[in-house]
Amino acid sequence: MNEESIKTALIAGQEKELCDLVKGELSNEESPKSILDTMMAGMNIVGSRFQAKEIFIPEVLFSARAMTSATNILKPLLTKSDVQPLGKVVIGTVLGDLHDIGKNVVGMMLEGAGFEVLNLGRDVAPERFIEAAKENGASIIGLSSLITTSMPQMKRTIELLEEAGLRDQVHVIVGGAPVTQDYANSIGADGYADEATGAVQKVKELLHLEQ
Amino acid sequence: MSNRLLSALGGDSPLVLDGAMGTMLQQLGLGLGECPELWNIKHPDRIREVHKGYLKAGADIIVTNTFGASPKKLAMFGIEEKTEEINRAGAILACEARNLAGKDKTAFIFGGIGPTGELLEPLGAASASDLHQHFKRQTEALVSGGVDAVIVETMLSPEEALIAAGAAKAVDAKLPVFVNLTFDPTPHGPRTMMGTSPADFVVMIENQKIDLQGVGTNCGTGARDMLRVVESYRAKTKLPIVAYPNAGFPKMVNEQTVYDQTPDEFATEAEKLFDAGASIIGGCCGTTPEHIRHLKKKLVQRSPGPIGGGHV
Repeated sequence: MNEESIKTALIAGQEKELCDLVKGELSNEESPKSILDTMMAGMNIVGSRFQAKEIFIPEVLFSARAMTSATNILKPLLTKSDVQPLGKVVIGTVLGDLHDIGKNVVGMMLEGAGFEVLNLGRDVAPERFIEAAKENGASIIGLSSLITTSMPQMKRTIELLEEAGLRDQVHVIVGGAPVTQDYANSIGADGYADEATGAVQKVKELLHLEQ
Repeated sequence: MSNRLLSALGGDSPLVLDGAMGTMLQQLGLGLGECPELWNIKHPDRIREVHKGYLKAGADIIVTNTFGASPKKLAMFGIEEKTEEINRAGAILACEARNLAGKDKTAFIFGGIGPTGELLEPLGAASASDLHQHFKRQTEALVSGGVDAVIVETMLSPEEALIAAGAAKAVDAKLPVFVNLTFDPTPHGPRTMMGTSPADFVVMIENQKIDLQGVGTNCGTGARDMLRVVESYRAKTKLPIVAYPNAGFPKMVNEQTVYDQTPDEFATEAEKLFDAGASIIGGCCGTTPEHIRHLKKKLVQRSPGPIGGGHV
């Protein structure tokens, strides 16, 4: 397999090129799973460049979009064990907050790393996070807040999770421009990151998936 | 009116812009998830009071409570049809506050225009022509309410910022228009979320040939990190530079957000923005009339500007 070409097309966000390369590999009878793994390794590079602030939101979105398209080609060919997600994550922006972009980037990076992500959107009530985690058997809830007045909703969600008796089964990670590690600690969140790649690392850490 | 503004900008003295609106409204009872701009209709007295507070503190410029009043943003609250009413009321309330403060001849009203929260094609679903129409609608209502200028603020996408600026100019080519981006510090200098540097933005403005009356930055950081932004702009453009930083960084104390700079600390840091070349200086998140009062005190001592000072 031409791993370098696949990674290069993915990092450059070249959707059509990447899909063509993937189809080519498939016709060479390359295993769908190893193609997927190569793309994930590529997304990993995108993540570290984003973290180092060498690339920014547009580049990440283009890479994520290319990866999604190429993954759709592979999906029908992957076996059940191939697509076993690393874990299930429910994400959303908390009640009273209409910001969307940063949380979506976190979702894409998590998907790129092999997680199943259920994105509840913005202005999400604490109860909905709990219900969604319960219904889908998610082990992580990711809460985003971009305005200081909506931050207490993060705490409220954690409290509700406790009341529902699920606090031991579900980890809560928090993020967003005004959110800090101190704040995360003060509300009893399990993890905080100041950007999307850090969020993926945090989730892996919490689920003991660190390589 | 705009002539008075342009001659004030051409002088050596810095102009002081007001401080935060949102945090003031929260103190006055704005609830979680409530549309702050709807208060222009629901609680006009409170909006007028906030403006008056800043004018009394010495602000030369007050920004209308219309940051999130683009039709696209109001649609998220299901009140897009109130676009005209909310923006017009926002402008009128600021004008009334100026009159009540006895500053009709000295203070200026800037109509505030913020981001729609959507990504432009091809990154997102919003089209440039669609956003142009939305910003045009907002500007028309602000102008009908009597603003002296428009300030496009807290923008993360330089493309969206310039669409808003272009839309404002399309309403009235003579309307003074200012445009601010929000930058984060990175190891490679200040960058927006989209990766734009202040120098990149100046090039974009020049390429698009939009006749801006000022370029600048607000929010995102405190004054210390903002210094680099102002310096980068100053190295690349002769346009007046606008800068209004946050009052340091937010902290949660008893479930309340507190910004960590006192009025005096804020003013001391913000004064350096003047030395770096900014000529319109104010406050963003976490600033209060006290912050602006301290800033004004510092900047009045600097007027007229120092000979051979930071200004080109």
